[in-house]
Amino acid sequence: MRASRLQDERGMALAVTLFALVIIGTLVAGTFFSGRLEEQSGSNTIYAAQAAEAAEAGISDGIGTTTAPSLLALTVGGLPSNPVTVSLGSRVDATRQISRLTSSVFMIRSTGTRRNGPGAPLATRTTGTLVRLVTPRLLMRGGLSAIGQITVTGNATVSGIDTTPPLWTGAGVECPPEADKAGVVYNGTLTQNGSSVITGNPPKQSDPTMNPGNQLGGTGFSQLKNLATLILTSNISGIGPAVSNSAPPTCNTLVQNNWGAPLNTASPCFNYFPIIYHYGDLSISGSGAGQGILLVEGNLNVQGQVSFFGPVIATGSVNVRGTGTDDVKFYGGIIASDVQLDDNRLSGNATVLYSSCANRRALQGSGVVTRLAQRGWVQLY
Amino acid sequence: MASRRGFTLIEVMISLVIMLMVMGAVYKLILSSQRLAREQAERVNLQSNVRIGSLAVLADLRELNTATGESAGNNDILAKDVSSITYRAMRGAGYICQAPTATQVRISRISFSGYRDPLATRDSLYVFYDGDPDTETDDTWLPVAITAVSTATACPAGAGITLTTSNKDSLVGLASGTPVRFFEVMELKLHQADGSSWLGARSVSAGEAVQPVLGPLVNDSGFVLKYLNAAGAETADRTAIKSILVTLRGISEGAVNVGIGGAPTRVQDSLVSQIMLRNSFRP
Repeated sequence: MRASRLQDERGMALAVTLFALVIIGTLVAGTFFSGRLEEQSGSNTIYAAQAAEAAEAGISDGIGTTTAPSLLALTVGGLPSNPVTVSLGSRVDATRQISRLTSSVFMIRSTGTRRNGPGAPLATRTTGTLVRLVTPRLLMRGGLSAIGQITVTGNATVSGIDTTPPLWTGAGVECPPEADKAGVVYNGTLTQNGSSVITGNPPKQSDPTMNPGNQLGGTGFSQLKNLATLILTSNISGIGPAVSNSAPPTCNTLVQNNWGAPLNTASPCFNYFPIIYHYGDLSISGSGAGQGILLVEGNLNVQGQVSFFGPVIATGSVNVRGTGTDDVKFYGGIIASDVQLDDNRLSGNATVLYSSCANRRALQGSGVVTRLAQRGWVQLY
Repeated sequence: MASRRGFTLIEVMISLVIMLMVMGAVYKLILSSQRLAREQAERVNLQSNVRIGSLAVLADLRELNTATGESAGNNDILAKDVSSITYRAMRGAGYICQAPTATQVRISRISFSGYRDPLATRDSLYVFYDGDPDTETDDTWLPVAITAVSTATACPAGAGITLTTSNKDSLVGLASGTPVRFFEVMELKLHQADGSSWLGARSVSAGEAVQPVLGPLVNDSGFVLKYLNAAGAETADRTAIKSILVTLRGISEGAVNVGIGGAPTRVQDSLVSQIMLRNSFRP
């Protein structure tokens, strides 16, 4: 009988406990859910920030690595460049394209993406930056222009006749001809002797108005050196292109004596035009060829089998000396204070040829990609 | 049936007391859990509020242009103090799709990217003026008032947006592809309404009144701006500002019991963010 009484008893402890557990469980679940939501919201904010920073990095990378020739190859109002994707570490990358808006203004559009483990995008952000090419401006008055004393002797040749470098003809390089210029423009004394040759239109031109303030045209030497992309720290013995072993091979612009590859149209360095600057006297010896703009804040001494394609500017004197069977050749022109073009051996030559094509390519190719000074950064939606 | 006996009074009373104690404990537990849940929800709302507000403020200030020594047109911060800022807020960008006249600029729809379409009177236009394409020294942005907008127009290569502008002779001759940007003048400030502090915003160029957009914030110190120059030092010179330190201090809408047995109080949270002005990279 006792057992049957117990079986018949009805309590409410279990019901109360279950009720309490349900209520408490619901509250805990709600708290957990809202906390989880907050955590996810915070994570999304982080992903968005990472994507935005990746987009910025894509812009910076574009400004730092895009060369002037690649920009100039784009058509105004035409299709943008091929997309370039930069990996920025684990699960973050940026893809950029460049459009040419006008002859001198370009838009870099960069989309940064934060991905999950399998690679699906978690957040993307797009920004743009308006950039332009800052191209040095130079007034090339002739093959050679100098203030002070000019000596052309030995077998040296100076020409103001517009000359296209032979290898560039038919290599896809546009070289519209320009008017010939004077062979030598000077404000000082010009001495010519030996078997030297000066040609041009006219061959020799005295310009008493030329002075250090206007010799380069609208651009000052200090402005040019501020655009330098290759700062030399010592004299140079031998110049030539440096190509990395990567696939595809790229031009290694960090090498001091890599001044481009003007004589090899297939080289990755063929379109590399550094603005080369050296403070103090600079000696170039050995052999090789380079291109760009050579700026020397001091005296420039060149000796050996050296060719240079583009303007050469020295605030001091320029001494060019052929050595027997070797040649020193300049396609572009020389601007300096005093110039000595000498060739002590009969079989050697020191040659300066005015070349509008070499100068134009060097000036355009050495243009620096820079953000617009004002309002260049654009939030894209 | 007659042999069965019921509970005695003592048994019933003891049962009732035990049940009351259990129910009291359960009630207390539920109450604590409920308070915790409410506090958590308030904190989540508060943090979301502050974070969203911070993101919105930073996004609006990020594109500001400042430049020491430049004209007023190149300095987008028009007025500032510790709890308010008036500035040109960029709202979109695009490219001209055909040569403009002195009173008309047409933007390619394909190139256009904006927060919204331009609005007459409320928005103004900046048109890039290249001058000599071989030099950057004469580059500038021409400010132009927008008097009418038509979005049902066409460019040579697709849809376009036609902006009728105030007369500006210097627009004539600009090339197709020239970049443009449009903006409105905005004010952000700590705003008092309904006895609370809010982040208030208004379009100055549209003549709007300040509207609360986020809050509530802590009175007096809910929205604090600190203006820094290139060296990271605080500056009073609007043209020298390179970054802005934005502090948002939010406060919960309702009072919550913090911890077990804590007195009801409104919880606070803050977020400090520093935004570098992207168009002020030059010294």
